[in-house]
Amino acid sequence: MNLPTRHASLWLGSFAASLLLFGACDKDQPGGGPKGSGKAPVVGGDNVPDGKDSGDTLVWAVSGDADGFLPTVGETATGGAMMDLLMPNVTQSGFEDGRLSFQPAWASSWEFSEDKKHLTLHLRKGILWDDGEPLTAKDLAFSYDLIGNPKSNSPRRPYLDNMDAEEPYTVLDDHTIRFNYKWAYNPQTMMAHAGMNPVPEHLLRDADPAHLREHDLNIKMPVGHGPFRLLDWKRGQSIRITRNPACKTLKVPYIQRIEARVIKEYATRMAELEKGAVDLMEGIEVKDIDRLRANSDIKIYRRGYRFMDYIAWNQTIPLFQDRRVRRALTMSLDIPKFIRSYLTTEGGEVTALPAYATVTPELSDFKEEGFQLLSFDTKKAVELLAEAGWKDSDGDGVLDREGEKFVFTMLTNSGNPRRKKMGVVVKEELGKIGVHVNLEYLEPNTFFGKLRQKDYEAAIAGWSAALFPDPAVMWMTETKEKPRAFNFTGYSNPEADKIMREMRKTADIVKEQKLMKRLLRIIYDDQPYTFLFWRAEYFALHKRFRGVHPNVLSVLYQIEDWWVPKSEQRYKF
Amino acid sequence: MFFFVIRRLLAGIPLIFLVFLGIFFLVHAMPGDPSDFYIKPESPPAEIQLIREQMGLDKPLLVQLGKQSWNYAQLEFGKSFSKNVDVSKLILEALPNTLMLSALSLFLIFTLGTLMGILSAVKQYSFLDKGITLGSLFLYSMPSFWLALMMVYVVAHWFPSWPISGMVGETIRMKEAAIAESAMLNLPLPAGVAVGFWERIVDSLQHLVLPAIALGVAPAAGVARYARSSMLEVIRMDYIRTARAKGLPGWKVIFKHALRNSLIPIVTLLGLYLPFLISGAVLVETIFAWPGMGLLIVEGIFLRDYPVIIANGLLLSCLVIVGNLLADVLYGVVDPRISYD
Repeated sequence: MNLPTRHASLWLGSFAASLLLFGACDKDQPGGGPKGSGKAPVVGGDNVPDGKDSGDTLVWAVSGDADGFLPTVGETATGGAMMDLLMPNVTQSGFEDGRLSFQPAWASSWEFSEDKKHLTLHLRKGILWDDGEPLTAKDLAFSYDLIGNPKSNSPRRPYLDNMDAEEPYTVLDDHTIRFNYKWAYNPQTMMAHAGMNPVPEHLLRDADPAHLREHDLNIKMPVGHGPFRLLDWKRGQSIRITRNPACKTLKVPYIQRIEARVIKEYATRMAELEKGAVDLMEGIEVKDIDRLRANSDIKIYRRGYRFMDYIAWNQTIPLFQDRRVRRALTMSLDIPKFIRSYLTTEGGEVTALPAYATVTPELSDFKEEGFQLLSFDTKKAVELLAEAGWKDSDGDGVLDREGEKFVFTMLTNSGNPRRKKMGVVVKEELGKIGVHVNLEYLEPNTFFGKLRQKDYEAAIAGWSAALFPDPAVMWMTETKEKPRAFNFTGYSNPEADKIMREMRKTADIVKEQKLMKRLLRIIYDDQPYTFLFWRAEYFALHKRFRGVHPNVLSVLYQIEDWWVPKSEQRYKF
Repeated sequence: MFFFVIRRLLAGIPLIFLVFLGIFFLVHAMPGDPSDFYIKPESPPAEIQLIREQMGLDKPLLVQLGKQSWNYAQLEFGKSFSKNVDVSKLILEALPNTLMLSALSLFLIFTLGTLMGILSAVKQYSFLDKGITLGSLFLYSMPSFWLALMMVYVVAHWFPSWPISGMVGETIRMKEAAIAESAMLNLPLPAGVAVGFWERIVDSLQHLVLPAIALGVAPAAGVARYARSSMLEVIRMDYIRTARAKGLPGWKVIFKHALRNSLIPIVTLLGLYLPFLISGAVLVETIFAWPGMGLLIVEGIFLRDYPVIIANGLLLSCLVIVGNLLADVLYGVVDPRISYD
């Protein structure tokens, strides 16, 4: 959804227990039961990186500002990206061949207990906070204390959901901490839940958890331990960070500085990029891809499928309770044609993929080759609707049943041209089979509120990809005791519930894959959404930057490897 | 005059309170709730309640109203829900930027508008008059955001060295960063990083030009129309004819005798434009990434940041009152016959 920044990040943040909000964070060892080991990262110490040239500034145009720099309460995408550089996670992320992986960072190694219910992290000694205090396991435990305190209202509180309520973690010594889980589940997710960015206990122990968001460490001068330090933050204008030569958690970067400039307007960001005043820009629209590719100063990178669009059918109203109706509506829409018409560049590059689930196709573990999609077949759709009792009995061109016309209102958020086009296409295509759609565009917050309260009939909306997908967030049956704020459609299927409960307690990746594939089939067959398409994310970067590895995790993925040859460096100061 | 101003300011207080009531109820009637931003997928009702308590939204509306009225009376505007700092701090950060922009825009509006109006009137029905009339109608009907986007596009492609966004140019930004860096890491200051006073002034003006033009062009065109008709009325008066008859040069007749009287209706516009420039800057500030009040207001609305919306709403209403007062006072300056007793 085109929501304001805070909302957008909440979108990411709450999509699953772990999220892309802190994209470049924490991943696993493939195959389950990861046992971390291996060398510590290349340590910078007081040295600048060897070999490649160091220096220059990366000017990054961002559409939204940060809300602060304290990982326990941060909610915005820009803030999250900065925090990953200022106070990185316990482990360093990787994403290769569709799988997440964890590399040592602050944690030099880790192991699971035999019953897979305990994860012990071994933290490297000699790591210091920016103020010279040592970074210890107590800091990590304290960070979890804070997110567990209801007063702090932390968006990362779900990290604790599957941990033991009495003793979620045990500090074994200054450099060893054990996380205790209620049950074993996906080891990647378990690792992610244990790997949040730490906060300094010695500076926050007296802080009131209810006022963390107003704390100086959040809104003025964060204290971290990462490869960058905050130089200054001009609210609404820019965030500047500089390379930290004393960093011992990760490799010291080649790039001297990063300046995130807040430019809300897409057209202005694009103009700044094309004239060379900005080096990096995300979210490149389809219409601009070919032109930018022709620009010799800019390189375009494709990061993979990160966003999906869907049509939600509200099943709490009688109109959409019959699954035959929902299937018929999907079969009336030519989704590949929409992709060809609106999500393909003039040069023929296809930027989207028909979707069959809310799990990104980037995750090879859960991807199913040859998934049978409902075909575009209006004849069959009309038959299905007739089976469900919808026929044009009075010949006015609109289907009816027991005196009720098949007319509904479809909402979407304003300010999103793609969804607007989609709405028009849906109206036109459904009109051909006798279904009348009224389109309504709402201000994003109002739209989101209506979805949450299920105060709508149908809606075109979207999700961002979660790399630790937990389908229960949007598909588990909602009850009073267990509200599911993001089960917008009121979907309920006992068989799906059973699988989701089982998945939450499955540590065996192979078994989880099978369960997930079965679940996605059930949900797709029920069509609570018409799954439209996954869209690939593109970013543009000035060509002088080398060592870039485009990745679905984060636009600044492995920023410590980016470098610019001395002769091409633009900023001398 | 002094008592007039005091009387008007005092009369403004109940007006501001009424505006406060209006904004307060409108804001709370908006769909969506600020606490929505903090709700997690499986937040239990107790947690949602705690969030609402922390934000002060759990109390009945009238209790909230009473508490906020008392706080506002003491000039305490509360904390922003979304930015976690005092609203007064946010306003103090943004207001100078907007005032800078508005001041330049006002200057453009009134100098350019009045000059065009005078030229148009003096050369009535000439090619110049028709050109100005056509041009000003064209500019008047042009939405500021469209003009702003076109300016961004044209300037970025044809004059790439001219800044199109933000407040500070890249040379100064990089110098500032190098200075901050050397202070943080105890490194020697690189040579040539000092930022000169005039360097900063010129840089600021460069950044101001485009948004000020985008903001000021349409109102300037409006002022030109008003100035034209006002001037036409004045230059037909007897005392102008007398001035001409006694042999005064044309420019002196216009600028010394006619201009002052023709300004009276223009001054009224000042009172109208002052608040408009701040609220109308919303889109222009967004497009040029100018960190002013407009951006603050629009973000506040999108994020349902009640304290930010209410405080800014009140500030705008104060500006309306001050703008109107200023216009009334200026009437006396341009027309000595107007008395304030």
